[in-house]
Amino acid sequence: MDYLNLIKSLSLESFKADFVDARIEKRQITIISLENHLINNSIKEQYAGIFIRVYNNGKWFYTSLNEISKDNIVKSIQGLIGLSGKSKGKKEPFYEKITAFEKSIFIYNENNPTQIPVKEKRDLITHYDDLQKKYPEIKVTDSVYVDRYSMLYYGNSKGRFTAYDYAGNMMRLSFMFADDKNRFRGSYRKYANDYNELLNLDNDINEEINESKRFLNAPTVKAGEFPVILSPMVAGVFAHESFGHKSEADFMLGDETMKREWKIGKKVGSDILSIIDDGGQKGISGYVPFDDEGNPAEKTYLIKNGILTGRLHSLITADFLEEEVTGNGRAITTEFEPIVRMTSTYIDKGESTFEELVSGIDDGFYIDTFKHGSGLSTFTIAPSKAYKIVKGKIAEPIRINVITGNVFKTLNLIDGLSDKVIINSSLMGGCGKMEQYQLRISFGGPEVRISKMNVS
Amino acid sequence: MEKEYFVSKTKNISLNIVNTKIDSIREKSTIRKSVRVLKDGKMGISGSRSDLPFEELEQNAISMIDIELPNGFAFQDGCKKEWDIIKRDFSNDEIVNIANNVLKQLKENFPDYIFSNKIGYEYSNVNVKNSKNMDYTVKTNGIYLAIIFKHKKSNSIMDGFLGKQYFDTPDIDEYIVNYSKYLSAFNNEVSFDKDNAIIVFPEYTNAMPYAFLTKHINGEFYERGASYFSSKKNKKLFSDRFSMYDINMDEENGICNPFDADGFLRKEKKIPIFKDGVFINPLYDLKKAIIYNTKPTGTSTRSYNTGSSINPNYLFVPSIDKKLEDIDECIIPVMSAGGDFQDNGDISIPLQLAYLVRKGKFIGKIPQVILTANIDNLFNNDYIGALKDGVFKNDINKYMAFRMSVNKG
Repeated sequence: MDYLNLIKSLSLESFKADFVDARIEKRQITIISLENHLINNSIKEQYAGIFIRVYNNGKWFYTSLNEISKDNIVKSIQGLIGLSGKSKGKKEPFYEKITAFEKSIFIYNENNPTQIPVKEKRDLITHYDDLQKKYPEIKVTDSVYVDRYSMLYYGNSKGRFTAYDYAGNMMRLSFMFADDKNRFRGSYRKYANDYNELLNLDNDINEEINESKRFLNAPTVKAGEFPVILSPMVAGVFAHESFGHKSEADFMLGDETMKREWKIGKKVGSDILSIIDDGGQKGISGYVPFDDEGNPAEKTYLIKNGILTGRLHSLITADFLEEEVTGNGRAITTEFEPIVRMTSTYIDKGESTFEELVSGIDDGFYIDTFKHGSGLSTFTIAPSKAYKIVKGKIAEPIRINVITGNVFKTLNLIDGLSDKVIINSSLMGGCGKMEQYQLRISFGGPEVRISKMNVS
Repeated sequence: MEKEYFVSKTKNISLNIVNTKIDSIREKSTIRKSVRVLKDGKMGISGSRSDLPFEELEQNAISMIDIELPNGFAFQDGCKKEWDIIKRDFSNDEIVNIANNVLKQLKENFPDYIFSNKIGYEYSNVNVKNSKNMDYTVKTNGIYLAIIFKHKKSNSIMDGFLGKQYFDTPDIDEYIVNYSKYLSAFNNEVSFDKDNAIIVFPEYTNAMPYAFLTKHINGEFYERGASYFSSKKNKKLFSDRFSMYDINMDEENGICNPFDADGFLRKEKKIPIFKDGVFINPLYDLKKAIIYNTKPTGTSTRSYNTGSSINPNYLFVPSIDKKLEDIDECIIPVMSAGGDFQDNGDISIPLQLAYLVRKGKFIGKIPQVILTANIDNLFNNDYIGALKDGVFKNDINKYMAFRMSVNKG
């Protein structure tokens, strides 16, 4: 079904409401997983849904449907308009700034994971799963292959119509080493836009398993404050958690303190620090050329050379703060409304080499991978693999539960950046906010040195 | 070929709260359907987020027969049975009125704060039938108040969370009174320099040590030597004061899992995992119970379109004979995002918001600190227990107290 034409045929401008929009996603997924070498998931599913918004009399009214037909959609819009009749909110004419245009970007219709037979995918993940069998110290394994192909369509009553597609493939092996006293869970992850990039990874996997094995008997760190270097992956989650969420402008709605506190032009980090959000980069999981309100992706500097330069917006927040939309109104599926979310967030590169960063530390830590992160006025990151740094050299593995710090204090303590940015993509997990979890995003950066952090 | 048909229908109304006002109203109905088929020791699953006919899903499931099962795995025999724990229905207008009432009281009593996030209602109807006469239906509903608070002068995105789920008419006055302790003490910043303290988690299910136990009582982990408790069945590991049970039914608290994702109907509402400090039994689903030649514990869960895995229903910890007011001085963590544990039992918990409390009285907010502990000490000498009271009088989820190390944040 041509969903963009279906949305156009609704003549959204003809409804008696201040603003109406509709968003359809058709999603095809494959999930194959093995738990301790037995297949426990083999899923191939295709579904489509529509989310409808009506703004009338100063309030929003939403619904979502799985049965997509013109009659159904029209009836739902009329139902929402009926509900809005009771509303007496203050009208915010954000919709007056929306310009009409139509644009479609389909780049994966010739090469996407739906074209690969399920058997081939199953054989691939089973082969990689088998590699773990030759390590007797591994007691529990969990191997997963996931792919997704989405086609997303949007239209509104101001004459804007957009459409694009997204495709991604990912595999993850998770392996737990255990002996009488200790346990350590390691993992190997690989994301690819092209399925073929997931082939021939045996050497990489064996290398990762052998490196992870070193952590089984690693000691736990004694809590304290230390200099720390973050890998590009961990720097990315640090950017996302420490500052990205604070750049989402919805937290400023009706909050005068935050409007004063987050004034553009304020110094918020060290001079070498720049943080960017950009949904326009192809080939990564944070690729969002149009957000779920039909706005094109923008390259938004959140911090440039330590100065607060921009923030992320939906239609509503941009109107409220009288700033430009940035293409960050996003929802996890067509069962939820768009809210302000990140796309691909990263710290910009610096000028040092990794060796130069390490050589400046006498007693500290290198955080290589992480399990999870969170960010409020303080941020936290739970490392998975971390190493001691002793007298300017990477030394033995160490177990660290959490690294944490006050966001602004820590942003000002960044004193070194390496010279290459790596973006980390994923189709497993994702970003959570309010009730919407596992949003497709990406993050990254160079290696980042921080002169002091709480390590425990 | 054995067949199983699953359908879950939910109705949800969600009110988005911005700046202490209802900003938007979202109504949605969702359906999830799936068919599982068993043939020659393997299973195929097909799922849908729309109302596709079961015949179509059955054909898809047959084409995806891939999931490997142990010999002897079969769908469960059963009968037609319904569990309906719904006490009363709520109309959309009533939900909006409840939300307006909560927001009005919060605004009047605490004008220095901004309240946001979600208030909503969900109705759920799940039916599972199979080719062996099983036909089970579960109906539940509930209202949730998931309100974030932020002081108007605070430069944080949020300062704390006031959460509560109701399975009957919400007692709004109790909600306001109980959480007013947090809001009233928020502005009083007090110092705290001790290097260890009694920590009282407001709800034990949200305490990090509890999360550690939840992970390590998995039967598969246990049998493969990967659990902290592997080879320690029937051994005394923890304090006499500590017992923990998996419960699958407690209608007053909205717990209603009479059968699990394997269709296994558990006879006992409550099974022991730890009793008086002794590790009694890990949890199994049907598949793992067959593999490891033990009994299933009715603790198999799955999403509509996935295979099953082991997860507890609700881990209940009986209370000791002590209340919050019996503790001379303690810290109550209210925001503790981002903590983690090592599988060797080391735990770290950063506290973003915590209160100093003396004999049940909230004194003030302490500076940000990081709690550290090891699981062995926590549930032995440093274990005080699940208290007799909690944030809410009739809630199953009580305060839980430990002694822990306190590190500067």
